[in-house]
Amino acid sequence: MNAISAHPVDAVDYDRRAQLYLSARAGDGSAQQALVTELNEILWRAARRTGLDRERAADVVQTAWLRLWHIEKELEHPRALTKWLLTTVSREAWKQIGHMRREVLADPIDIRVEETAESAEDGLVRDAEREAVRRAFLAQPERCRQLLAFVATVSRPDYDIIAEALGMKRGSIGPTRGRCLDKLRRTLLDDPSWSAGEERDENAA
Amino acid sequence: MRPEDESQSEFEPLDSCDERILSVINELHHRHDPIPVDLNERVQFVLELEAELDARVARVSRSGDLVLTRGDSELMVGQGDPASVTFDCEAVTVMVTPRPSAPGGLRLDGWIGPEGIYEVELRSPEGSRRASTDGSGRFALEGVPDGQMLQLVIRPDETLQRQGLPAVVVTPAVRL
Repeated sequence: MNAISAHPVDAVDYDRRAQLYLSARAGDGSAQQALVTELNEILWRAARRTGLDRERAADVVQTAWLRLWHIEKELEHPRALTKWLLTTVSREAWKQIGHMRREVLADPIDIRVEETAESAEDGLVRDAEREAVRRAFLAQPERCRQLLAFVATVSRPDYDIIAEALGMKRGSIGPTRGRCLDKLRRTLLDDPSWSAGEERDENAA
Repeated sequence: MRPEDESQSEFEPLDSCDERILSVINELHHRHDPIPVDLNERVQFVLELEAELDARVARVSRSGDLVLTRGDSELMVGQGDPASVTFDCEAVTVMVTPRPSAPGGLRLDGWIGPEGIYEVELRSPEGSRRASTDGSGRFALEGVPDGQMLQLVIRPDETLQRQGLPAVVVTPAVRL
């Protein structure tokens, strides 16, 4: 996450996205395509987080893009494009969920599944580490799982987006993230396979 | 102040251990729930159509089997068929059931409500197929390629439009 400063390529460049948006509005198809490619995964994750199944999540992402190009006037703040799209995805998803009267899951992405043989080639160290994080993550309270899943996906997440998506008070997001990461870390440190991974890393370096 | 500028500095910096944990959490979600490989393609596909249409367009969205529990079962032709997909909006309901026919091909049986005559266009990257419904809103399309991205574009006839239906109804791009 914070590797952003060391890897500027990861940083969200709102000016560039705004520029792409304005070009796309003016009819530049490749700018439109570039935006879709760049933002689709974030939007897809947001749709899944609401509890929609995979197909409906895909539908909702399409709807958000259609809405974006449909509004007659340009967005007043093109730099807020990402936020606008995420908010639209969440609202469309909630509309569908309300319509279906469906129970919403806290973390619909089921990472409970045991790793299969296909992951073996990744190497045992990575597997052990991944397993340790998976166990520790699942041991955290629902609130923490939601928030951490969110901040893990979006580099430099926007507080307003999180507040809206998770129904949290803006001011509590920073402290909650800190507390959740802290708890997760303590759970991990108690797990021998995590500390083992840690030692190996140091030796490798 | 622009909201993004404000919020970028809000999170306390993370140390390398937190970063590592978060990147594994992200990776786990990627592995267990990858974004559909063709989602970019689907978005481009529906946007292309949207750029061509200038009529009043209504979008239908997936309703699915949960509609049944709400007692709307009369809308569900082929009720209980797990292959069926239902889309609806306030004005229109569209149901399609794909069935294997020729090798690598599907037959698509569809029903559109309210009753009436509709022109149906099935868009795929290969091109479009067209059919008309009978007076009760039923249609069938043969030789639909299996596993392709598809989108239905439905045009109610004038009688239906006089009853208040939109000129064009579109579904999302789906894979059946």
